[in-house]
Amino acid sequence: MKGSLLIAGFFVAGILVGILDWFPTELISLNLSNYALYFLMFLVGVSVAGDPKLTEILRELKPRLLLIPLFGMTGTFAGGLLYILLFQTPSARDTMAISAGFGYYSLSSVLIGEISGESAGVVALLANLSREIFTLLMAPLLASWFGVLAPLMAAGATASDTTLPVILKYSGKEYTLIAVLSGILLTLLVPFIISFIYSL
Amino acid sequence: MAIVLFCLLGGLITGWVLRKRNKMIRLADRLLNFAIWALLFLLGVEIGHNPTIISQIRSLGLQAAGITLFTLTGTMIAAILCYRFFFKSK
Repeated sequence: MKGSLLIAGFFVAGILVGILDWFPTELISLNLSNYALYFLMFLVGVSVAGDPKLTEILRELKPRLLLIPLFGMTGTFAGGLLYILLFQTPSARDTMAISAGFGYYSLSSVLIGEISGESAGVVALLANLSREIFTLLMAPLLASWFGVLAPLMAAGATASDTTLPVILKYSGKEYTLIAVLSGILLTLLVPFIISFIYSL
Repeated sequence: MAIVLFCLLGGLITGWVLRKRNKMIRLADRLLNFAIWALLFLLGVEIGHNPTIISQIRSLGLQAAGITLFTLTGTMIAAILCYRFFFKSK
């Protein structure tokens, strides 16, 4: 939670600096954020593949456990499609890409902002951040209403880091490994699915 | 976009090679935090610079709330089905 607040703080500080016009515009036109994004993607890779838990997970992996991220993705996209049928904005492509953030708001907002424009990036940030906060706050209710898998699946890509503590508490310790597996898998899929959606 | 995916793949390979070297991985995790802060700060600056976005923020917030509501509802239905059909007996 502290980490999320810090991230939100940097974002808000950026907005204020932008509004007040304190940031030299020449630096923006240098496409700094492009290079920072490449660097970020590299580090996401190092962090995921270098995670000591990864070897353990791959060893204990049962194919059935993959159903959890698979169902989570299907449910997320089904919801996104229904949204597209009912509302015009954002565009169908943006809506699917924003849904494909799976709660990973930092990466999805930057990627979508780069590819599709800043307003889609803002919606991606707000939608995915609220998915994470909702999971953190509602985990006990989700578990009692929709079953033990609910907090884990609502968490999406965040299940392996920020929301892991509440998943442990309300889904149960035996779901730790599944949560980390599902979170890592969705984290990795976020950039692939978003690029794929915009390449269609 | 291909570059983004290549960077990710390069990172995955590097991370796998370095996975036994805890210090390097922890350094990468810390740098990852800095990169996220920098990128969201820059995204914020670009948004702050863009008066159209600031004026539309209410509508963008509603869109985000709508998407979250729909995707989470879908996910919760999927959670019930997944548990009932594949995990209940366990």
